[in-house]
Amino acid sequence: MYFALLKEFLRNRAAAAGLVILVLVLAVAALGHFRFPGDPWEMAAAPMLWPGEDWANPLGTDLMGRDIATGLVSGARVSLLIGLVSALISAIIGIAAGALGGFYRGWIDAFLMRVTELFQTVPQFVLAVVLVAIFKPSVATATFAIGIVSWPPTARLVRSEFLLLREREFVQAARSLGMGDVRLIVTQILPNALPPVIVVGALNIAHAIQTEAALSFLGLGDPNVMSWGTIIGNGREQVVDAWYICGLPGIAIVLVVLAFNLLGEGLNDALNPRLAEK
Amino acid sequence: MIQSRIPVVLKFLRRRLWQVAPVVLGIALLNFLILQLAPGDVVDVLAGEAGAATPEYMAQLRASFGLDKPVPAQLFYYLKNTAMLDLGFSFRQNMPVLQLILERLPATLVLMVTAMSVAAASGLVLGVISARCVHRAADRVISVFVLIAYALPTFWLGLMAIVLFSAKLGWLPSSGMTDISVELTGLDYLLDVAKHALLPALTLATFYLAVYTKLIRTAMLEYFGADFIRTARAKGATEIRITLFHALRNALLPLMTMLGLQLGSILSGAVLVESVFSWPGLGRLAFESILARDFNLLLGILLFSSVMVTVLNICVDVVYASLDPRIEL
Amino acid sequence: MTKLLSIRGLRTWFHTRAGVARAVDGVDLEIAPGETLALVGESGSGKSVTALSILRLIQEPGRIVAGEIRFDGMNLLTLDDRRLRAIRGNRIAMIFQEPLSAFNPVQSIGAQIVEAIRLHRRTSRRAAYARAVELLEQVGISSPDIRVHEFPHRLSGGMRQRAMIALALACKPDILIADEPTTALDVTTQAQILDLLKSLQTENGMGLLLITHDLSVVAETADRATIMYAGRVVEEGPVATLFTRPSHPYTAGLLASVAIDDLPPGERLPEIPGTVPSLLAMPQGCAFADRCPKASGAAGCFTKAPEFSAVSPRGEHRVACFLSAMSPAWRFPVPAERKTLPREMEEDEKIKAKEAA
Repeated sequence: MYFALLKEFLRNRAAAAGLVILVLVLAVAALGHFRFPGDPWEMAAAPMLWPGEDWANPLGTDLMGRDIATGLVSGARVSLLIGLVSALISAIIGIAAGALGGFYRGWIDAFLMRVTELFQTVPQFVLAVVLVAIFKPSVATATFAIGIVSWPPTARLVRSEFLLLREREFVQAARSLGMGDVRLIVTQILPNALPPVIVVGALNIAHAIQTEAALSFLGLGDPNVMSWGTIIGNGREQVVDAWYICGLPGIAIVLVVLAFNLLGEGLNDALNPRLAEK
Repeated sequence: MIQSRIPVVLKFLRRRLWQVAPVVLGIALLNFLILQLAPGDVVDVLAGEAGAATPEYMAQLRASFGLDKPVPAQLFYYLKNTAMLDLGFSFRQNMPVLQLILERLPATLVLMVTAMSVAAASGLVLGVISARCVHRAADRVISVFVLIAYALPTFWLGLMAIVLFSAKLGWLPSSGMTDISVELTGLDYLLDVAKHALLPALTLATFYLAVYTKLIRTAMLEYFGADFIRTARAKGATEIRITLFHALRNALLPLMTMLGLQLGSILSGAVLVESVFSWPGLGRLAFESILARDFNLLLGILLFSSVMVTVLNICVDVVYASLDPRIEL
Repeated sequence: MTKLLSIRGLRTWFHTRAGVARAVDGVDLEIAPGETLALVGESGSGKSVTALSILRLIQEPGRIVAGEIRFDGMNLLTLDDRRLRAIRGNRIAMIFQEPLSAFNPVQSIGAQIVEAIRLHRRTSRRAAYARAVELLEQVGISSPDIRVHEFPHRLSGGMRQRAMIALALACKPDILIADEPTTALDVTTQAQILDLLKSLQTENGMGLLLITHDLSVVAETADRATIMYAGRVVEEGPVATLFTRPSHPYTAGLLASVAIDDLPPGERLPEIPGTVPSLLAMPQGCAFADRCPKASGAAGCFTKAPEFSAVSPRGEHRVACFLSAMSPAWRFPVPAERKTLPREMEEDEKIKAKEAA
């Protein structure tokens, strides 16, 4: 079954393109520092070198003479790390809230839904800004803040799946065999509720990467870590004279976000062949 | 018909406005929780650790939070203050937080409403074109545009727009809401604001434009197969009439739903766009408060913007009900 | 006799990924003014597709690949869009199976009737509304001046179908096509709607093409019937003849399967064995051969499709079956219950028998 899914997935050209971009970015993140081994914060050459002007710094330098290519490699790692981990956090919170509410219903569900609604009403990015600003900017706070503000859609999705699945025969059968609630949730219902959650997860990664970049852009990035948003934030004062300082990391963000979006859509089509027909 | 609906709408508004109260309570609780969990005591956090606050101000804050009392009492003080719309005082800006927010609110509303109108209108047009030409060249071009627009970070798009349209081409101003070098009145003033609003509004609109285009395309394609469209065709209606009058009219419903769901996200986008274009709204205020580490102001903005989202959501519901006769208010 | 509408050799195929589904594959039929023709078949037999093909309402991936549909000296299949629209809803109108989804949910029924009127008549909005109220009254909707402002979801199923009929009658069409108009309704409402259709037809003198799978509806309403099976017409003729002397084994099987009232207790329900062949892979010979109790290789049932030929002296009863054509005297057994027909039909039979003699 998984092989068929994979085949369906790869037949989708857009999804395959997303996968290729992603593999390339992963390669840059994993191997980039062999080609650009310096510290992204250190002055490497004369400031404001344009890309191609000096082959020692192929993508140019910023106002402080820091090498942009080195910064981009560092940013790729930060973006992927924060994107993946925060999407994971968001998935865990969302699945937990959705599963408990959908499984137990009653007052637990009512309470969890109120909390979910509250988190959907609050402008997510503003809440993330508040969290990061108050708990001091760092990779950890950014990751947690993004995870904490982005779980409601997952929770709603999981809840609705659980409400449907808990009435199905195989769940009733497992229950009548005396299976406990936790095992019932984890081994019977959750695996069946997971496919759409995975799709949302892929899109969440894309969104998390954008949010991280936006936080760093506003100066709420980890002061010790060079991320794409940081480079753009630092370069914005010179954007008119040297647009490449902001432009290049922006293109990197667009590519990665595009890749995860394509991946998510491809997964969605592979998991819902009926929709793909259209 | 229309007149008879007005009392219904008023009754609905009265009922729904009560729902703002739990939101305020919820956010206040959330804010309090954040402050309790933050390193240092509440006043240290609120006053910022830059050391700019005077001892008198610190003492005044401590008293207003009841910091000498146990946590439940502190919570009580905090909720009481919030309920009385006392969002505190911004030491940095030397003004009450609420007054600061209300001063900046109109600019943000102008930006949001303009951006959303542009996004909805162009999304409708592009979505209709895309659906009418499905799987043909125009549809493919629009689909690629949608895909890229989805991935563009708003703040980066804004910067690039400044580079192109303000710096290189010199068509539009890159920052502020008005030209501060000249005094303008009446129509000239409005034109000036419009000129300044164009780039930020278009920047903010781009992402939502993509969302609405895709939404309208999907909805229209679904409606083209619907029974009532077949009825309209069997009546002898033209394809244009069927598209615009029957299918699109129904596709407005999911558009309104999406708009309601995205209000919070639009406000978040406004924060970024305003800080890029120095647009003097709530977002710019939030950015300034981050820079100044003025957390009391920041928390006030969070609370206020959540309330605003709730209120706007109620407006969206009223509009939705006026579009869909199946919904009873 | 002059025919109002005649279809010749209609083929409507659906080009799907899995292959070409020949939903309608060579259908002929005719309707005279004031006549009710029932188009009978199981779901998937192609009767609805035939109906939709008349007004060219077939949607992708379906396509009308061949045939001719003559109406008032025009071939509807080659007409340009503008002229076709002038016929749709004006001279040929249609009502659908599911009245709730057939109405635009966000418009009042009055507005939708007014639209139908104003698409074809130059009248003021006010006059069109007055006409809509009149039409709603005509189809038996009480307090029509209030209901005209009602939205579809606020009406009951029967009311909605009445409103749908009012919509179809808005421009006094020459032909009304009713695609399973009573299937979605409960039994009492069904009877009312059929009565309404019959009386409106007599009033307006229009031709009625009634698409149904329900033989009791056919017996009560129709003058003639055309039986479809797997995209082709297998038999056609006056209802009285068809019901008493079915010539195609499929028609006989259909009749036997509804005649359960006289069945002795404990007896198995008669049914046609086997299933309808897939439209994607139609057999070379007669489509019904696999299920036919009498099919034989000698007659050619499995090798080529049977031609349509008359089995009555005047040619109004025709059938596509090798067996019936070879030996017109041969008849399929008819269940006892079907021998008692409604009185007027018996009269009809007597007259026909006299004429034949």
